[in-house]
Amino acid sequence: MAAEKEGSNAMTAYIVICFLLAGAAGVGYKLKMDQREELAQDYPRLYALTQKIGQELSYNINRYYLLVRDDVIKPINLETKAQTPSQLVEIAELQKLRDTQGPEDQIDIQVAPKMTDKRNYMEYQVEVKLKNVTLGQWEAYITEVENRMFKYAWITDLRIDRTDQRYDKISEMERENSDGSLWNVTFTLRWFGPPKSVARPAQ
Amino acid sequence: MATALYINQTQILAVTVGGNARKPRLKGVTTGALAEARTEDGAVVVDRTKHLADQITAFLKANRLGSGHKILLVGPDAMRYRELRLAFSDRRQIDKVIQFQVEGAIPSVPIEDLAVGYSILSSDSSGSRVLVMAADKDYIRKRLDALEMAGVGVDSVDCNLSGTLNLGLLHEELSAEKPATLWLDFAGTTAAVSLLSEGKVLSTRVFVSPYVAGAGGAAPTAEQSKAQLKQLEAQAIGSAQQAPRDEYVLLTGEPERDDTDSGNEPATLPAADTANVGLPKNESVNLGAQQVADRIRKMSREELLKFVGRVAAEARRSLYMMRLEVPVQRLVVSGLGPEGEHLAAALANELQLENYCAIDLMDTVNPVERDGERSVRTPDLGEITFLTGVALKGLGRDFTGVDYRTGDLAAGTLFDYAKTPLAFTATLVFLFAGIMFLVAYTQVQSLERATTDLLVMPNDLQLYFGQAFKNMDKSKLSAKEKQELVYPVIEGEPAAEIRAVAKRLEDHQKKLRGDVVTDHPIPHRADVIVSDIIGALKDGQPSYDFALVKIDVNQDMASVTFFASTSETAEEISKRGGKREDLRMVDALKKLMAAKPEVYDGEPQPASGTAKGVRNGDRVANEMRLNLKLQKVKEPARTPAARPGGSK
Repeated sequence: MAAEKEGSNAMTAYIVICFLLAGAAGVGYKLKMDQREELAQDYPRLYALTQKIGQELSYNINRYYLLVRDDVIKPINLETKAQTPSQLVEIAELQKLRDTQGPEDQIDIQVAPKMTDKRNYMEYQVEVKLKNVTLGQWEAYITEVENRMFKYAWITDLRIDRTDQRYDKISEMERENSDGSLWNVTFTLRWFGPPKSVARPAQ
Repeated sequence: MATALYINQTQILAVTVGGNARKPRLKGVTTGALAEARTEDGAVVVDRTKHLADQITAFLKANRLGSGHKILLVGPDAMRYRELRLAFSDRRQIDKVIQFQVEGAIPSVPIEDLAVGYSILSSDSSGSRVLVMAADKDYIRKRLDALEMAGVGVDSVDCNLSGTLNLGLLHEELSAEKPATLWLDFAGTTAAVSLLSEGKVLSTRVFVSPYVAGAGGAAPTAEQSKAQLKQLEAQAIGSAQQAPRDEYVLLTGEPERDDTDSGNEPATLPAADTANVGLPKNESVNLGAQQVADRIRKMSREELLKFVGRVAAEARRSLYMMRLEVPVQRLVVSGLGPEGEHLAAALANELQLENYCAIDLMDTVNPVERDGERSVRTPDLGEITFLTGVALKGLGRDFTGVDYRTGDLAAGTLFDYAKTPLAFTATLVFLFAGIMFLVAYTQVQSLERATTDLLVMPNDLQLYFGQAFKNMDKSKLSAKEKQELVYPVIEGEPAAEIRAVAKRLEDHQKKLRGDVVTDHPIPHRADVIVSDIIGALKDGQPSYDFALVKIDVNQDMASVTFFASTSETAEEISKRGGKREDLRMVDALKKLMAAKPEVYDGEPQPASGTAKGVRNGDRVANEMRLNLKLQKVKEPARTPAARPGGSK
């Protein structure tokens, strides 16, 4: 009879709907469990991040600006960059490198940076020449330059040449670190700035 | 080939037919006795279904009835017939209301216990007349269970009236070419009266056949018999006029009080009548045409008159109920065996019909041969016409279209059997999956809340973000720089907000450290490369004869020139790894380049212009010049870039 058929169809529909709903719930469960897994894994990371924000990043940044405010450190800005040549001279003086004329001259520093307009930015270059310096002297000079300027400047095109390059002129070291050879060292200090349109003339 | 099966209390009967729906042929009739459900020691068998199934199996095996369609016959003792008049004739609408209609028409039996089938007798614009054939569901189920247990697949289940009509309408005397005909069929203790016109059954009724009245006590005199017949006739006519819409005949011996009470005509024969025929119920299923004829022959004249009058009354009753516009012109009687012709004449006379004949319904499937014998010898069974007619369903002939093998009696497919456990399982699976989903959902919600809480607990990020820049001199900042100091609020995504805050602070910190460049390429740090090369040469374990001469680093290449001793003693070479100094230095530089692929590209390449075997006293060396190719310095993309790892 039709009513019985309808009942049977209703039962079939019920089974199908139940399985479909169960399938949907299963898929939903899987998705939610994935989400839960992700959230559960994320939570410790996020917790650590909030800790880092509260106890490290915020503190460090604030402390930096406190030190800047109290003139303990100087922030790297356009003015700092503009003072690069004079900084190089200052380091040479500290290292007691002689800036004279003739064979006694040990350092040449290009006072006016070479500027190159790279459209999106400006490139500044200063060439430094160390002459007849010992290995210890040029190492100390470059290290100091790096220490003072690594935040914004790069030492590029570095060339170190032993003044006497003939093997028969190179004497054997009597002991370790007893090399008394002299070197000519040339390097370029390079830094960058905003495009010419916004760059200050001082740079 | 198709086989109809009939199982009663004492016997199992099977009729097999072959051929096709138009020209069916009787293949065989077999009977088997059903043993009493008792064990050898006389105890009652507990599992009666299995007992019956075993006997069915044995019966089918013994008679080789395993193949072909199987149709189960529902005997007259389990049937109730009602004629209903409905205001519509669409089958779908009838299907919707038939159960409720039957419930009202047969109030004495719960509708759940009945398997309902119906046949539309006539239909027009005003509605339809429907013959409802309601079978005892339990009767069918018990037999189906036993048959299924016996491994018999029952294709359909049908009733005796369906079988009679299915077979009878094949007979040429009841064909569509004949004029309107009143057809009386006797089978066992029941009889059916049908009105046929143009091959259609306009009405059909079943009643208890009174041809054996007198065997158990007939009317005492002819006058009384006549008076009783007249009374019955008047009763029939009156009730037909009063309640023509809800006519029915019940085959049980008990009157349906519910029907009487409800005002409908109690069409069931009075209990007294049934008692008069003197037949126990189980006997009604096993009375063949020959036996009927024999009983009729033994009737007294009064009994015969009573029989004829009673049958004529039933026939008139049908005619009155039908109110046929087409006059009945002929009478056909079947199922009375050799006495059929005499009784047909008597009945025709009583009904005032001149045209009459007596037929045997089995003629169509088991015709009489030239030698006067039938092609298949059959036992004298009352149900043979029912069974044969029902068996024709298996050949595709189905006049009424009734089949009780539907609903909960339907042949179960694996899916049908599995439906209930499947529904249960589906519900459980759904509940389980739903609960799991809710648990997961709740946990996600909880974690999301906890993540949201991280914005304020344990550190109030907005407060700390503001604290970071509290002492910053903001007077010289550009608009873009000022924008970077604004706390990044991301509504509804606390995790993203936390990450954004952290990133903004980290970026700012990097900028303060000088780690962030955004708008220019990052050059190779030549001082770092020189330091790396010197370190590598030291790793090459230079001898006292070794001398570094030159290192030249630009943005494309690092070139290194040195004197490598060739005058090392074997002992010195062994102490320094077993290789000559020049090879040691090359290996060391190779190692350096491989360790920093982000800075160096490939392996050291020897350059020209070197000297071999240069001397300084006893010291001999080869001058070596190696080129170390550097990775190309790339222009920055639009996104910020960090300093390479090799740089300070």
